[in-house]
Amino acid sequence: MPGFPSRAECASFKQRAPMRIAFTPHRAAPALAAIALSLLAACGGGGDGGGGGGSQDVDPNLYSVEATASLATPNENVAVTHGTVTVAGHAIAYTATAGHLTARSAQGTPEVSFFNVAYTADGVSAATRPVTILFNGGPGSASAWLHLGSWGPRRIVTGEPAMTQTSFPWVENAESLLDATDLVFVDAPGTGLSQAIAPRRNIDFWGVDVDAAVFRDFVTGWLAANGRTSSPLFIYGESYGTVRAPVLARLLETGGVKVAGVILHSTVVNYNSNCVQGDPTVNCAGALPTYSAVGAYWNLVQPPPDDIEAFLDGMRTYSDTVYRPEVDAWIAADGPPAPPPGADVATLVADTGLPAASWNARFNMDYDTFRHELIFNTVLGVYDGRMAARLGTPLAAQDDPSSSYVGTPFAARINAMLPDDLGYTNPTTYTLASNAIASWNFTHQGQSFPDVIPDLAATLVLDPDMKVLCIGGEHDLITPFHQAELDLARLPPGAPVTFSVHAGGHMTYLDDSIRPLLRADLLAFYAAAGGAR
Amino acid sequence: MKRAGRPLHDGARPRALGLLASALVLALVLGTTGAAPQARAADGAASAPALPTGFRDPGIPPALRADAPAETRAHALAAMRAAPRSSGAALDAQVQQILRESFDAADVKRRGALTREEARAGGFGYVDRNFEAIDARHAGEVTFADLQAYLARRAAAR
Repeated sequence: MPGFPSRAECASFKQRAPMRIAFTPHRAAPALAAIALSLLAACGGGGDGGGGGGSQDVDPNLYSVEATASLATPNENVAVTHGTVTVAGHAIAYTATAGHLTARSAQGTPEVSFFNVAYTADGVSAATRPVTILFNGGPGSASAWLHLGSWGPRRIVTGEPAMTQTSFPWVENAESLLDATDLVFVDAPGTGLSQAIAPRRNIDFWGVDVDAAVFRDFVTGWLAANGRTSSPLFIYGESYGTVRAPVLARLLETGGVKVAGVILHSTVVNYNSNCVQGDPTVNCAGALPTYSAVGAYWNLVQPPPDDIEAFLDGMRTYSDTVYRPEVDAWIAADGPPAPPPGADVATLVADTGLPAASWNARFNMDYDTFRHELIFNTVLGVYDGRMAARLGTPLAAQDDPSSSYVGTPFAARINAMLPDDLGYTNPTTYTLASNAIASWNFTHQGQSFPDVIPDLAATLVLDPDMKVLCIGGEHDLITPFHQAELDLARLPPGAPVTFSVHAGGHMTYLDDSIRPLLRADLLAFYAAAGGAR
Repeated sequence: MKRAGRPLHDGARPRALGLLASALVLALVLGTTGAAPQARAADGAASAPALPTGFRDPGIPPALRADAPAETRAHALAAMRAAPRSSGAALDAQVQQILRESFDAADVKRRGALTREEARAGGFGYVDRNFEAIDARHAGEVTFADLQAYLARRAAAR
């Protein structure tokens, strides 16, 4: 691909702890490994590598995402490579740094060995160059989704929402955000290659508040270690990461670290307002415009809308003013599942395509019922309702084609690109998800499930200059875009929140036609929020 | 981005009679008499991807899942229902409570005031960072009321 010399030009390693240095031929492609080793020598980074024979990884640790796992021997070995990405006609030379950083408490106690990959543009002033910390959610999800799919210098091609690819190319990312900000992708404790340091166990950091606190210690540690304490700081969380990001921003600001912007990607800032399957008590109306977007995509809305955005605006209003009060009445009546007297089921059928029988059986419509009943004998993806599979087919086997289609390619790519692209060799198999959610402590601010609007409000009181961007996918069933709009509308009038809502699923950036639109919205956000700290 | 009515999955045209039958059934269910809906499900002809262990990540807390023990789930749902969705004065009260907790956490001597050093040592670096502006009385220490007044001045200045 023209203008894409992102293979290691000069690999080198920094040493912060005793380590052995070498590429591992059985993990990197042999030819690349040979080149890299010669470059290592040319760059003066040979160390003692290769002298003893056998497997010698940049990082010899075996990491575990098990609940009770503790890391006995943390290290901060990093692999450093250099590349170039061309964005908007400009070639950006960058440095990629992959490895661990030890987060320490205020008292200096080691807490978690955080795996992170930083892409930093070369030759830019640290004082003005923004740096963005990015993480996925779950809880229990590693950050490979954002790392491989969104704004880094390379990305996976998925072709979503079509599910027709049998291979998933790894290409230069023309929509990378590296022209606007440095990017640091970091795995949460007990996900990816991040692990608690003995005597702490992964599970000790599996809760809303302890998680955000140790992320604060990671962020402050990373900024200090890399000389970036004066750089405009952005926090970018996806999914559960939109719970983590506001709490983290509040902790950072409370501690005296200014945050220029918080980016909420596929937003669930209040678990208490998001209804779940078969839930008879929490109003599902915030998801109705999502159902309409999905129904319209499948040509099931009558009459078919000419202008989908105008149609969805109308559905926002209908949901707020008609359907929500109807569901409130239905909940208050505490009666049978049938709609309340006078409820306008015909309009719901016409505007979503979901059959009347479904509405009559479950008037407070949850997304899980919707995605199984919109199309006969078919399941729609929980993360993207445009991705559908007939029951009994392979892509329906896990009950979610939007996960099944991309899970294996992402897992394969992260395990290949860390050694091959970034020179980070390690004997651990990187896993996309741990079981953290099974033992996660969701309590926060005295509630059983997190509502982080007060955290966001408090942060904006401390720092009225901070800005918030909320990204939503119109076809994402698990974090409905309109519910996020309603939750964020609780902030005081004039709160500096902007929205970026487009067609697409949860990982909106995987849609090739949408990613440029998201990038444009993000560039505008960085321009508005990127003031000096 | 306009997507309504867009034919789906270029490489996955309906080929099975069963799928056509599904569309017809759907048309009957919907009571539509015109052209059958263009809903097309990919038939998953691509080889089945094997999911990594533990990949399923629906994001729903276990207590809220449909397969949770009934009592556990009922308790969790009740907690969701009872959670306030504060705005306006109620939200502001929560904000003040959050700030108060940060202040009290640093005020280890329970004096009701923080010196710059106490703020820094107590994790309230924000007070340290903005100390001169918050300490409008030039007392060398700040009370929670001083902090509130500073924040109100900042808000009003905007």
